[in-house]
Amino acid sequence: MDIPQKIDKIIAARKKQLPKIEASMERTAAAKSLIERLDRFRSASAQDGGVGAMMQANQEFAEKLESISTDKFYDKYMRTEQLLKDLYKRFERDEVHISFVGRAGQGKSLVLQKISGLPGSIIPSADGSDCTGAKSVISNSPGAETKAEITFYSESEYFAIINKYLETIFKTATYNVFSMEGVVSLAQRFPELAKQVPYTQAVETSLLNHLEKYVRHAGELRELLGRHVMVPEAEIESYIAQYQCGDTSHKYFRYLGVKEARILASFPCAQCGKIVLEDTIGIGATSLGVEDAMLETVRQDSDAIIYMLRPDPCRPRLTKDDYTTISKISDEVGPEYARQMLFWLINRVEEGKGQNSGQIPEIMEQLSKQDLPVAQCLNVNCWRQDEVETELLLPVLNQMSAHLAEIDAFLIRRTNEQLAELENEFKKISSRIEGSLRFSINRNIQHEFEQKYFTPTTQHMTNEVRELYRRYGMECGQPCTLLEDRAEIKLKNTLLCVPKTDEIITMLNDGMIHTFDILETLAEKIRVHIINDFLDLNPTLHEMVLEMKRSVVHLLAAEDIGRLGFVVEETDDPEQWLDAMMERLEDNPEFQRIYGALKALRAFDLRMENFLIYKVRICLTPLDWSMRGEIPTIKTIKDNPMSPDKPQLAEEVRAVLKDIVKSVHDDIRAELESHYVFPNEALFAVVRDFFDRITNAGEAHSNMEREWRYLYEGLIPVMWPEEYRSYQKDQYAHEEWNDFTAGVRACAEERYFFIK
Amino acid sequence: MKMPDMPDFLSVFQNLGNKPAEGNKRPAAGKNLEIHVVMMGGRRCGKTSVLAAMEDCLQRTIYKYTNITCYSDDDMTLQTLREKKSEMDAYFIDRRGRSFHPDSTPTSEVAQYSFCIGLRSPKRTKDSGHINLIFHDYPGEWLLNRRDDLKEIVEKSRIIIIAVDTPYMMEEKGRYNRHRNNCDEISNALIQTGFANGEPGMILFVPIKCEKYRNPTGRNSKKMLQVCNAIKSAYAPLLDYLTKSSECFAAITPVFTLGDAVFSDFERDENGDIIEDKEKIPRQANYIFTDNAGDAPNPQFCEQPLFYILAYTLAMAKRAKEKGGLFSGIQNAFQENILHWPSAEEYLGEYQVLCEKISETLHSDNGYEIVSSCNWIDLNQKP
Ligand SMILES: Nc1nc2c(ncn2[C@@H]2O[C@H](COP(=O)(O)OP(=O)(O)OP(=O)(O)O)[C@@H](O)[C@H]2O)c(=O)[nH]1
Ligand SMILES: [Mg+2]
Repeated sequence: MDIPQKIDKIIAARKKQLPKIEASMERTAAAKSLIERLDRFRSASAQDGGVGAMMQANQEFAEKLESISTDKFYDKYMRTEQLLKDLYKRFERDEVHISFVGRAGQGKSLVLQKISGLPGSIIPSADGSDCTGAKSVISNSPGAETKAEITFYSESEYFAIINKYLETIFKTATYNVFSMEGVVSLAQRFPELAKQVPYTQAVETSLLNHLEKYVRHAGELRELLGRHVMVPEAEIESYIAQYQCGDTSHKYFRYLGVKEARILASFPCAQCGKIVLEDTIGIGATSLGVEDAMLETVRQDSDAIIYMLRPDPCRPRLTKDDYTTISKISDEVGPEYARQMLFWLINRVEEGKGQNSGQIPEIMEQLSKQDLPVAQCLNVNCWRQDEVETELLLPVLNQMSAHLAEIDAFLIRRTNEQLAELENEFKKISSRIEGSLRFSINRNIQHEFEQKYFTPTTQHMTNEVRELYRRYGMECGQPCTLLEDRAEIKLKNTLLCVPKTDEIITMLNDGMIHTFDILETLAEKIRVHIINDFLDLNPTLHEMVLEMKRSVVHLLAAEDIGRLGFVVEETDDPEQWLDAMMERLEDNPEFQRIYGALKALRAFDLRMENFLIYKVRICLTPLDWSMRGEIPTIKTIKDNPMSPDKPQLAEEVRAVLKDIVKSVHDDIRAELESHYVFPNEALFAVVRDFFDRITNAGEAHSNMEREWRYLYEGLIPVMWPEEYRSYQKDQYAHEEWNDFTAGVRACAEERYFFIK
Repeated sequence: MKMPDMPDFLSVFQNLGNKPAEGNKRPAAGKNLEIHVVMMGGRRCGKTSVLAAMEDCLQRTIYKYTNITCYSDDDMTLQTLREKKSEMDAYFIDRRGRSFHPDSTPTSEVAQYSFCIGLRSPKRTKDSGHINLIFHDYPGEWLLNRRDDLKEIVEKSRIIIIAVDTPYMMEEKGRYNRHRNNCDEISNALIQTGFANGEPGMILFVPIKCEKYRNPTGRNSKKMLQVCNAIKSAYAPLLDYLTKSSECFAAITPVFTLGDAVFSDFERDENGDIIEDKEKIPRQANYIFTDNAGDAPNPQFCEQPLFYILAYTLAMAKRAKEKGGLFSGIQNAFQENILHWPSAEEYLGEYQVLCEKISETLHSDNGYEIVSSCNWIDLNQKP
């Protein structure tokens, strides 16, 4: 695949992610609006009715809701929202972007000319002064005529620029403008205003010059603001440059109103594919907000970033500014990203003014010694088109086509990490809301439901758990046939793991002829093989544990037993259910005992490492020459130590190993025999313990009863919705609160916000 | 245990010879007294080999420790047994690799091997009678398809040697034992013929091929004890019968005919399953030479079953002598046979020697155990 094809593939893959990102945006937004709804409840008054009124009427309930803090959630939300937007923008693009960054006069425009094949009139480049007027992007459109798509600022954006200058220069908002008329009158008052700035204030004076241009030309630009125009090649310069190429006295002003110029050109290099070059205004230029704009471009609009530097022949060192910029970029995009997609381009000037080629080797040396967050340092004579192509463009394109996919995956992962934090914040709130549930219910209703519904439910559930542990109790002391059968297969495998004679001959042919070497190597292999094979019984054990947990969870969750399935739906994965349930109870001190019972149940697992594997290991001693204290005598070697007959030697080694393995096999079998009862005993013990915990937790019975009562009280509207409705006086508040809590519950689902 | 009355004792000696039904009257003066021994055991489990091993050690052990003479004057007998012996020697002499699997010609017809037992003594004359030990070795298949023939042999025999192919009994949780060693068939055959019912008899269980279970250290120790237990449980009905309703002495007397070659495994296919023949018995048992195996077998304890057999005959003789004056009926048989020998006193003196030799080995750690004791013989398990 050539580079353009690879790039097409990357772009296509990105588009597939868009709906997922969108879904994530919608879900986070939904969560945010729920939190806003909570805030509205809290600021509502009794007259507003609904939940607000409910709070007014119920002091305890109000206190519960009011104590929930939402600041952190909003904070996280802002951050993730931005990340999602950036990601969307990046994945939505039809091309990949290469941005050029650097101080003014480093040769950015020169490089762009060389890559795009466009003349200096369209991509102005002149030494010493800020030449590029408007931000322009150059898009490769093979075979097309050169033209530009110009987007102007809207009027209000234009005023905002002026106002920013005004505020910065005069440190006050009093001169701000909000209409064309305002701008016109500002133009009239301009000479007078300018006098307020003493010429000693260099920055302000320079800003004043810029501001003057914006103000003075506003009238002429008025027509264009807010518009989109297509411009033929010949006119492009007049929209984006500050002055005419070759004649600096011929000034342009339209660039002031240009928000973005998109130049379409057919790039000379065939390997380019769908790429867009982004020029940024030189850092250090005196216009306002240049660095922020650059960083925003880097973050939002770049796939690869090229930091360009033309070392000064008089001071051929890397300056603090260079490092600062690099590290700012790296902070903005993340060091992992920078290490793949940030390039440090050293512009080597071979002759004429600014010639620096003599100093370049030293600089490259200096760069290579440091651990910079960059993908590559490129040393290119940017004056030469061929070198720009081979030393700059192709390396960058190659790196992009090879690594963008993984970078994209990384960005999604990083976003998901942030979303996980958002989820975390949301869950904190949701568990507080859960905790307030039971307070939302009227005392009398609670009491009535207790008698009628949840006392019987708790009793039924605990009775069923008792039945379950009794059933496990009957199995207790019986060997676990499943484990026994599976272990029997593993036992058989031990016998199979002795290598065949020809395999041993191969080893011998590879030069392993000493008794110790060959026996040790093989024995070690066999030992590891056996241990690994027996560890492979873990899934069998785990399945039994899951089965037990599934039975317990069913008793807790089933509609006709514990009914907690109304809170967390019962699925095939009991551990997931336990996790979800625990998460609900975790932060609430009212349910610590129930939480503890679930946690102990959840934590239980049966693993070979807990018991059996060590028994197996001990049985391997006969295969462990160091433990045996002696190594078997191999007669073939003893008879002819110098050149033993290989087939005979192999046969003998196999016979000896086979014999030992057989006795190891018998030992393991005998050893395991007495342990097959363990799983059943353990399962029984765990269910029994769970029963103890949910009934009295080793304390006064009433404590436990209270926890269950509180739990069910809060769940009345969910578990017994019909019955509860009939008790409601304020139907509206009830519906509103139910709707709200259902929404919160839905959003509190694991990984709900994730891009997935 | 109830001792037989003297008339029974007489009949013992009558029965030691051929049955009257077969036309043989009471043994004549100076004639040989015949004692029949049957080899029992499943197909290919090593009956003939046990005999061959015993024959092989006759010279070396019997003569070394006692004055008893024991020889076969029948060349055919020796021929067959020595062939069996050299079959086993060949495993060592022709050894190619580290392991081998026994594979030989089965016994095709019932064979009889007879040995004359006598005494080295100056008083001994040419006319002195012998005890004639006649071993019957039948093909293992008979247990299954020629029970009547087998019954006939058992009925005239006073001593039974049951060869046990030990690996088949001990390995794979013993699941091949039934079919290989035919324990139930043997038990039934003996119980149904009413073996030793009221007449002293002797049964020797001889585990063979049991080198693997001898003297292992560490986790494998006491394996011979397990062998004994396995035999006791496999033959539980027979042992039960013996202790309840017979005058039979029984012991477990393992022999180690090869010494330095031990059972390794049953041959398996590439799936790791044991390859079985159509009777569901492992097709091939592999044996492996121990680290210090030489070029010949290193047999041990092979003389022990023989000692027990001799002890039996001497116990009978002693018994007859002690009670001799009381019952006229047995005078004939006894005087004319054993006590008539010039060396009768000396002959009986050997009884003591034998019992001592037997006691030396009689430890359960060696796999030796008396499983049914009788007071007509002076053998007792040491505590
Ligand atoms: N490894 C080993 N093999 C033995 C031993 N004793 C006998 N064998 C072998 O076991 C096989 C069976 O032995 P036999 O004595 O022929 O068995 P059998 O019971 O007489 O068999 P049938 O007469 O056919 O019923 C032969 O291949 C013997 O070589 C022993 O102590 N160790
Ligand atoms: Mg035989």
